Formats: sequence, structure tokens, C-alpha cells
Amino acid sequence: MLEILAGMLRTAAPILLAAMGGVVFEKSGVFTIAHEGIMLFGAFFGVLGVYLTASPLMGVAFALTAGAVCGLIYIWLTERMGANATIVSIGINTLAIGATTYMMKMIFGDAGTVGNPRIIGLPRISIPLFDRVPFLDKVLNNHTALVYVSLLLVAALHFLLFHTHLGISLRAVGEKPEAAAAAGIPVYRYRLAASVFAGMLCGLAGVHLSLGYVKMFTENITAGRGFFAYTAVVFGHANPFAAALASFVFGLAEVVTFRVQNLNLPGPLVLTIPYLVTLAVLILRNLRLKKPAVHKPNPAATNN
Amino acid sequence: MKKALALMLVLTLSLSLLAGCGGSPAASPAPDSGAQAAPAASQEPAPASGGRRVVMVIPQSLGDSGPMDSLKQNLEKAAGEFDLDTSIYEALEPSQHEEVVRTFAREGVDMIICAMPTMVEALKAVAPEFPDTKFCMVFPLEEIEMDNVVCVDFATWEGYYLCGVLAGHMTKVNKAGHVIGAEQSALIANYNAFKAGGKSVNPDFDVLLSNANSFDDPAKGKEAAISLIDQGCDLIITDCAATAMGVIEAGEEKGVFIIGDSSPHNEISPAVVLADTMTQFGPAMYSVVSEFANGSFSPGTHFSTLAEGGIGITVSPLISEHLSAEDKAAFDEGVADVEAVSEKIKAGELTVERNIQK
Repeated sequence: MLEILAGMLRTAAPILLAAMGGVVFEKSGVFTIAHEGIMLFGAFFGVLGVYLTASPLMGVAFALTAGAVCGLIYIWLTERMGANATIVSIGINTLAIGATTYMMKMIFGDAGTVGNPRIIGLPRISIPLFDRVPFLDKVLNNHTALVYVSLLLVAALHFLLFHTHLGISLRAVGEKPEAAAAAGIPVYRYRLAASVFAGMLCGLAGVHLSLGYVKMFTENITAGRGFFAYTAVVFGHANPFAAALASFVFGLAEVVTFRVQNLNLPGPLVLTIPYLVTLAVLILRNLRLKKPAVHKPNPAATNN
Repeated sequence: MKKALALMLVLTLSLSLLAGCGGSPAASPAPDSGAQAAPAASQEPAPASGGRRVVMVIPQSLGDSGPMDSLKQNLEKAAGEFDLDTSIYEALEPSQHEEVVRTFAREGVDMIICAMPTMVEALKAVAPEFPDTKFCMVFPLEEIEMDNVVCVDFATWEGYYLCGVLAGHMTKVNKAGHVIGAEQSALIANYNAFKAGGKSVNPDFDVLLSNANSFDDPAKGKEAAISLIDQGCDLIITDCAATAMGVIEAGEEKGVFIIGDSSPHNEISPAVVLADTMTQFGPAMYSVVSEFANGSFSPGTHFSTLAEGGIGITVSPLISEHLSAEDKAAFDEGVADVEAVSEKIKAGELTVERNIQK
């Protein structure tokens, strides 16, 4: 049972990190579904950074930079150049698969998988005193660094968004840009900063996958986790805690899928668990929240 | 800006629509294939043996250190030896397969090689349209009876049986895990053979099956493996291509023995990889291509078995020094047993059943 909870944290962490990026995007009023692509760039550049410098920390720095650049390009294209957000998102996602695969062939000379002794993973952290309590030891101890970062981030982001002046301004920019502008808040600059920061979080999610979860890069290593992250954001109405909860549900569903396979249930049916859970959560949420807190205009129509 | 974008989009869409028009002659812009049935060889006065085009379309990424890489190496080898003009195309989306294969056929490629069961439907659809193009289907898991198609298939379960024999000797808790990439008959047959192999030397041997439901997601593989290890398995065998990379990593972290699939993984993780099943994807395809280059072609299914050398087990040469004395004794005994059983199967004294019931 405890192993399942530990597994949940492990599988949820990449989704959670990207979801926190998604929360920042969403709160600043930037619509995107490019999490997947930015994660993939982050995963690749993280591995590249470690490969070049032999330091996992530099790998993370590379991934953060890659994420920031993606965020920058994204906001420039959508806000300044007036490009359609959906199209740019799809563009980034598609570009990420092609570009990372191509660069992998160019740089590592290997087409599908980069696993190399020079790729050093992120350190595992064992927290003193936690090993005394079986529950904490089994569930919370000995994860890689970014798992803890992802957990701390949820609280930090909640504080930032709801208890600081900066966060309140940012939410104003997201909810009523006209009002924010009238109040003297520079809307574009806020969105720019938010997008860069959110890009960095997605990059972090990617590097967690390629240096924390496993120590390798494979073609399309993200395998749709960016979209799960976006779904978590939508579930959570861009609230950090609610989005985190949704991420954990996804993580839990995946782990449970692996555990119940040996209970003589029909295999294909078991594999639908994550999706059934997704549907159930969606229905539950809609039952509870009759009125959406924030009215979001149709994203495809916003830029026309 | 927006208008241009919209225009581009419309153009792309309409182009893909055109391309999707299947076998209609109007949609084949390549100059040498106006009529579908026109044999490429007669239009292009190709040199008698050299310069013939062989294209391989694969549904999985290269770099799996497994079947795809094995195919690539052997295609390159054939290209060098027989002066063939070869290329490889990764068609990763199932929806692409048919169109990619048809496009190459239309371009007048002399031989098209497809691999893995997922491509069978595409091949079956396209091959009848181009009777003069030769098709080679590696690992279809079914028999395709067409005059221009040769299939290469494998008795993989024989290899898994041998791995089971080794695993039966190595496990201390009589519980092994088996990670598969999809619930397909062939993989279930391997699972049953693995279990049967283990039971043949160790009656209490049991296997837990875990479906990662992906052949290229190492993170899922790792999670599947950790879950098996938590359930008490002390040895895991993989049957899931690149997903296995994550399984191996989990084994390394938790100190659990791994038996890999399809090609040697012992250099990746010398301390935990005991052995690998060996499916000689490449060589079997190589012999088909070399036959083709020499001007002959025999349709039907070319079955590669343990006796024929297409299937086998690669025992890691690196593991011994990492084993404790007790493990080493079990390992040596297991390897000797594997060799004995292997000889028996080759001689026909022992038949491994292909059981696809889960």
C-alpha cells in the first residue's frame, strides 16, 4: 500500500511540474497546450547539458533555459505576432518531436535512445529522521530532488498567486486584461514573465523525466504526459492544489494499473482505469461546480 | 500573417486529402508511375544487378538496441555487398503505414521491407496493387499468401522457454516478473513458454505478468518493473522493446536480475542483465534481401526457429564477475541446462508449445 503511494508521487511528479507550469499559463490568461513539446525540449536539453558538462545541475539549467526560450517564443508568437494559440501549440509539440529526434541523431549519433554512462541522474534525497517513521520513509523518502521541488512548488505557487501583490496582479491580467491595463498593470510584460516562468516549469518536468525518473532520453519520452498535465489544469480550474490533486489521481491510476494486473482481471479492461478515473473526476467536478469561477472565452476565437 | 497561416493550413489539408486518395491514378504525381501496374524495372533501365532500390519501412524508432537496429545493420550490410540503393523510413504512426508503403511502391522501389505485426494490414492493402514490386514482411505473426510477398517469422517462444530454464535456476523466491509491451498473442505465447521453461526445472516457479502497454516508454517500463519487484519478484524478463530500458534501470536500482529481449543488453547494465533472448530479425531479412539481389524470390513464410538459428539466447559474458558465489553456481548450472535443453529442441526431442491462452 505504501509502495503504491510512493509510486504515485513518482509517476505524478512530471505531470505535476508541467501542471504547475500550466497553472501559471492559465492564470496569466495565456492559453496553451504546448506543455508536451516544452517538456520534450526540457528532457532533451537536460540530457544534453549533463552529457556536455557532467553535472546534473547544469542539465537542469539547460532544461530551464530551453523551457524559458520556448515560453518566450510562444508568447511572442501569440501575443505580438497575433498567431493562433492552438496552432502555435501544435506547432511546438510537433517541432519538439522532430527537433529532439534530429538533434539526438546529430549529437549522440544514436537514433532512438540515449543511455550513456556520462548521463548522471539527479541525486536522490534521503531526509534525516524520516527513516524513523515507516510511513514517511516508504512514501516520502529517497525520491529524486525534483519530486520534492514539485511538492514545494504547489504550496509556493498557491502563496504567490493568492497572497502576494504580484499574484493578484497576475490573476487580474488573466481574468480581465482590460481592467488590469486600466489599473496600470503592464499586461504584456506580465504575460511575458508568466510564460517564461511557466515554460521553465514545463522544462523542469521534462528534465525530471529524463534525469530523475529514468536516466536516458528516448524519442518522444514524454509520451503524452504534457497533455495529462493540461487536463489536470483544467480539472483544477487552474488552482495549484486542485491541479496537484488531479495529477496525483493520474499518478495513482497508473500505479494501480500495474498492481491490479495480477488479480486475474481482464488485462485490457484494467488498462482503461486511468481513463475511467479521468472521466469520473471530470463528472464529479462538474457536478460540484455548477458555475465556473472564471469564464474562459473559447481559446480558438480569442485571437481572431 | 493570420491570413497567410490560414491559407497554408488549407493548402496542407487539401494536399493531404489528395495524398490520401489511395490508388487513384490522378493522385500519383511521380512521373514514372502514372499507371499503377507499370513495372518500375521496365521503365528505369536499371543496371542488371546494381542500383536497385530497397526501402525498409519500420513502425518503431531506430536506436532501440533491438530489432530495429538489427534490421538497419543488416540492410546496410546487404547494401554494401550487393550494391543496392537502400533507405529506411520510420513510420511511427499506424495511420501513416499504408500511405508510406504505397508512396514508395508508386515511386518504383524494387523491394519494400516492412516490419512488425502492426504493419501487416498496410502491406496487405498495398501489395496487391503493385504486383511487380516485391514485399518482405518481417515478423507478421500471420501467414500472408501473395505472390509478391515473402514473410519472415520467428518462433520466439522457444527463446523464452530457454530463458525460463535459466530463470528457474536463478530465482530464490520462485517468483519472476514478465513485462510485456502489449497484450498480443505472440507475447502471451512467450510468457507461457517462459513459465513452462521455469517450471520444467523448478516446479514452484511462478510468473507475474505486467503489461506496460507501450513499446517505447521507458518511464512506464520502470514503474511496471518496480511494481513487480514490490510484489516480490527477484527476476524480471522483458518483452517490450525500448520500454525495457526502464525495466533494466529499475533492476539496476533494486538489484534484481533482468533478462532482456531481442538483442544483447548486457553492456548497458553488466551487473544485472543475465541474458537476453535473441531474435535474429536482421539476418533472416538479410537472407531474403540477398536472395532478391541474386535474382530469386520465393513467396510464402520463411520461419526462423531455434534449429535454424533465428531464435536463441545470448548469455551475458559480463555477469559472472558480478555474481555472489551462490548465484554463480546457480547461474553456471542454469546455463549448462539451457544449452542441454537447446540441443534437445534443435534435435526435435522437445517441442515447445505455442500457447496463447493467458
